[in-house]
Amino acid sequence: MMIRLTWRRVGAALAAASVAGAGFWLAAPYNISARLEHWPPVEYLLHGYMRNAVSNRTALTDPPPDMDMSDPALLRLGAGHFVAGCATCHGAPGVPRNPLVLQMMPKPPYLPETDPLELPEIHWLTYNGLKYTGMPGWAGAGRKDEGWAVAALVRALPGMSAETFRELAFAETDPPERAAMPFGTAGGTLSVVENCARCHGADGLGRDGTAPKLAGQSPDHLFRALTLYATDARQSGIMEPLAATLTEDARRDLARHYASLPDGTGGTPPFGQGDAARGEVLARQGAADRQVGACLGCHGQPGNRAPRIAGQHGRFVAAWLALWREDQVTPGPDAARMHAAAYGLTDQDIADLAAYFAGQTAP
Amino acid sequence: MIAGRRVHFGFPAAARRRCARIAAPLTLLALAACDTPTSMLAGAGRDAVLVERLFWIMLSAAALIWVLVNGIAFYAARTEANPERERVARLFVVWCGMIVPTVVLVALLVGGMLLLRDMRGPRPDFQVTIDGEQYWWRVGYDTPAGRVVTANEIRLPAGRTVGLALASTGVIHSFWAPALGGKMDLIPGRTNRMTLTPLEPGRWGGNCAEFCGTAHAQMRFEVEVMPAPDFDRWLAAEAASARVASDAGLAVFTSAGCGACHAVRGTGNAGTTGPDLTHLASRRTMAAGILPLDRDTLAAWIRDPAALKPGALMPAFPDLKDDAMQPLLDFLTGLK
Repeated sequence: MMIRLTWRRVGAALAAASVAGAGFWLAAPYNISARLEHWPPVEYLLHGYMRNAVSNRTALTDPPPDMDMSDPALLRLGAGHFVAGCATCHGAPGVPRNPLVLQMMPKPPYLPETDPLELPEIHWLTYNGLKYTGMPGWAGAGRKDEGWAVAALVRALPGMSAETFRELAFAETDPPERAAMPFGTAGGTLSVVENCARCHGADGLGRDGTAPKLAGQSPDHLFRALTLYATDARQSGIMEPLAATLTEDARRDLARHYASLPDGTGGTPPFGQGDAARGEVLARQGAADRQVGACLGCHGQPGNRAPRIAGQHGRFVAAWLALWREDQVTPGPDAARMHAAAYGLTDQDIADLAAYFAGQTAP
Repeated sequence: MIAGRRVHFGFPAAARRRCARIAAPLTLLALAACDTPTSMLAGAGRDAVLVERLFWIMLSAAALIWVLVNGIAFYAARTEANPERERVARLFVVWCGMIVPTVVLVALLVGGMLLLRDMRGPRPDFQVTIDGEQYWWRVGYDTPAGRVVTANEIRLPAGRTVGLALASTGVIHSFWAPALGGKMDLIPGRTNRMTLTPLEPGRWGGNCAEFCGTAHAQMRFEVEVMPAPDFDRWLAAEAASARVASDAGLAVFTSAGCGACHAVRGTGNAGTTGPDLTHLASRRTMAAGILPLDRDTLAAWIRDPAALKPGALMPAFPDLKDDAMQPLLDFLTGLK
């Protein structure tokens, strides 16, 4: 039998559907208790939608060509953040998860034993998080660059030994053994300074330039930078969650501590393809045709509060010049001036400056 | 139109009278503008005189042609059609519509090209380089004592021919000092050359004449034409190092990072991105000719350049407190 489609019948069907929908919403028969698994068709719909959404949104994304995704330095940065921000829910090699986490719904995947997604997909999830789950977005607004370190680490997690992970995430610090992942703390009973040392080194010289060298920096600058991170005035999904926990006194103590450490080595291993001689000319004179100010007009100028960059790792110099070139990173006139000085830099300029400053010894 | 009233072609009588009342002083104003430092009729340079002559020739010829054409049109409108005079009409069209205009245009073209040749003619006595920046003019003199760089105020000796080498790094600008001569574009990646022979001492104005960005209209400059001996004295003084009137001010200048972009010769500050400030206080204007150079304006400029000149690329220094600003102003206004 054929039902003839009329406006009246369509209207009646729509009205009936609305009433049924409203009734479902009011009576709420679908149990949303986290203690129950999803009904399989619902699970299929939700999970499939998530996979489609992530896959579609990263179809045109590639990892930055200048980043080597198997670079141990990048893995160390990723692990340094992973252990503080991700491991509580996603686990780490060799450490079972906390029972509390296992009661989450949806259950966060145990990444050491999960087939990894594509790098751009992990990066997307790291930066954006997921609605209707416990997965937060990235705390550093706009800092998509940081997510690649996490993506590189997550890709490398399956099959990674517990020792390797410990070395990547904790460096020479010595966190206590745990039978299962503690909830919500990174290094267990690591002190604040030890926690910094995981990435910046106990000697404050930084590990491979993914984190800056702090030793010998001016205490005012270190305190200012920590405070910017702690107050959400400078964006970083890695530094903000850690700095936010520090009281003003703790920030001051940390700044004093690292400022007092000897700069030691003087110079860092070469990084990148830059021409240090060209970088020196640029640092001393600027470039009138690209509106680039001379770096040394402020950095290293007695009485100027710009941080010392002589002897910083080239990777760090290059990464931050690229950030300063995009925008002023931080509110305030200092930052506006840094952006004004850097916005005309070419990629080659950045490589040259990185080579020059990395080769400098601090005064 | 209300029926019964006389129909005017054009504006009603009252409006015409009002127009006349406004137009008369406006015309006077326009004529008065012929005497300003930026007038192409000021005749302060050899090239401007040549251009002015061409202008008057073309204006008179255009006026004559306008009167003739309108007279003929007026006559034609009042004449009955007469088939017997069609041969005359055809001849008239051939001569006045084809032959005479061709001859006139060819004559103008040849005259214009001869004029261009004349304007390029004289061998320059010395060179000045002018770089168009955003949004100011970098001016360089090559002297035996070294290169002298200044900004926005171009001093030239009367009676000598100067060769200008015009270049730009970012976008296209155009250099035009109408009272002195013709106009020339500054094009990134090449050096355009022109000559000027200033005749009349005085202060003549100029402006960027090619839209170059936000502050294009605020990208002015001044040409001061001086008697030749005065110019030589000035250039020798300009080549000297800076006079430091306030050591405290110099310390502020250096530590605040001004030297990252500005040079003050003899103080170790050697930035090249912004204007050379070695003899800043010998200039009468700042920010490319738009502001008077005095303490208050300098202070306001340093605190927030973009508030005085939208699009200015110098970053703001709102964090310079008064105890630093005052010595800094002493230092800057002492850079004679």
